[in-house]
Amino acid sequence: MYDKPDAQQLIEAVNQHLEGELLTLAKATNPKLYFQTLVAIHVLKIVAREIESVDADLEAEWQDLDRLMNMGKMPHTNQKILSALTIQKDQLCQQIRSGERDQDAGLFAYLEASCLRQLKVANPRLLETMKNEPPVL
Amino acid sequence: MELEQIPQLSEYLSHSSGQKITIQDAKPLAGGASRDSWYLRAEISEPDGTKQEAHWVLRQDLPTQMTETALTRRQEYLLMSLAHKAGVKVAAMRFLCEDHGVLGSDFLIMDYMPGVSIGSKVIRDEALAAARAVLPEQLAQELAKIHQMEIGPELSFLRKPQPGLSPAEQTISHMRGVLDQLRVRNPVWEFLLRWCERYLPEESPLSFIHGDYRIGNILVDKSGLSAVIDWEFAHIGDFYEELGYICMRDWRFGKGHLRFAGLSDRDQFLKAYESARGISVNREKVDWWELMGNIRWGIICHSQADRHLSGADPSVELASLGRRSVEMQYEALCLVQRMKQI
Repeated sequence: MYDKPDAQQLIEAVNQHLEGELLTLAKATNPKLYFQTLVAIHVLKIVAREIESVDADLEAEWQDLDRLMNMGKMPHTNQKILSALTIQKDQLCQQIRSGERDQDAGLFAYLEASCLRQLKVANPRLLETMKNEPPVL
Repeated sequence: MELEQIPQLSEYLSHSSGQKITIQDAKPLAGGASRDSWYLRAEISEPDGTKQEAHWVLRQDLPTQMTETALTRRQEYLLMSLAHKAGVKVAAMRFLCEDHGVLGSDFLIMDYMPGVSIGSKVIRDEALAAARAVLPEQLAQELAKIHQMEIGPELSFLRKPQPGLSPAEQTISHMRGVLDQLRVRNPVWEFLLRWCERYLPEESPLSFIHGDYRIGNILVDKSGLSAVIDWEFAHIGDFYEELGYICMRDWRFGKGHLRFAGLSDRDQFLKAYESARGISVNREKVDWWELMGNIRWGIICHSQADRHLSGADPSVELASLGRRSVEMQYEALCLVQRMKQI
């Protein structure tokens, strides 16, 4: 729909700019700016992963929450899906806090799956590390 | 502080102490997010003409405070002095100034203590390998002393649980309040807080708590622990809170499988703590507070992101913390899974 570069490619271009001369200059002159630039690079990578995953993640979130909340038919646009998910999650939160869901055996599996989806976007390296590390004593 | 202010600082210190004090060198220190820290080299002239050299650290309030519950310089000065008197490895306090005419805001001066505090260095620097071997015991011994500090009327300013609520109950209530205030509706946090509420640990007698006791807030040199620093989150609570806190994954600086602070297994630390205090430590209670430490830090991440989103403190770093919360959410779920009750 839009001319090239696409969103991912634009993000990549910005990151190349940040990781190149800018980072070298910041490292040599301003430690605080250097650290913030590293954070900015890291944040853009999260955005890139989110763009890549969001469609599949919304669908998976819908399917998983459906097992707990009876969501009905999934809407067609991401915005509508997100809106409906927010309303249902709000209700789920109230139920959990009141103790209604204390004996719900399926709740943990949903929460874990939801977290894993988010962590794959936010910090896939941590996920790998946790999978491969020796047992924590 | 600016370098141009050094002469008036020297003047203030001389006037305050009755000795002739000249600041001869001042270097900014990489400090915590909410304080301005400087290393000072001072020359003190005695009346008989002899001169002494002193090495100090100056800590000054900055205009933006990270949280309104952190302590004033006076309160920090007082409780660090009490800790020093109790035999805790902490810098001796030298000056407290509440006259804004000197440097523009409150400041205190303490002895400079050797060592590094940066977590990744403490955990990975080859030169500190011998120090790392003794740190679990040393950290246990200092914490035991801190938890046994007397809580007299002069410490009445310290945050404590409301009457009728245990520290555990207070923390759950506080966390729910923060979520509601931020309008964060996250079933993971609701599940974890409800789980903590259902499996509340037994209360311990209230103790003095450092509040942020971990690698990153201690100075380490080749012989190990040199000083405990950053007392701004001190409060009164359940000492198990601190036994769990230092075990949190985020404070292991990449050595995730070494549950105690990225240094050792947990039992090495807990056994040393038991020995130092002459008590027995309930491991399941420590588990509960390690879990709660993850919940608190994960929820604070939302608060930090909100400071950026609200426009109060625009910062890419604060914004990024909003996406770090899920790391603590996932770790907390893993902890719950390991504990007996699931």
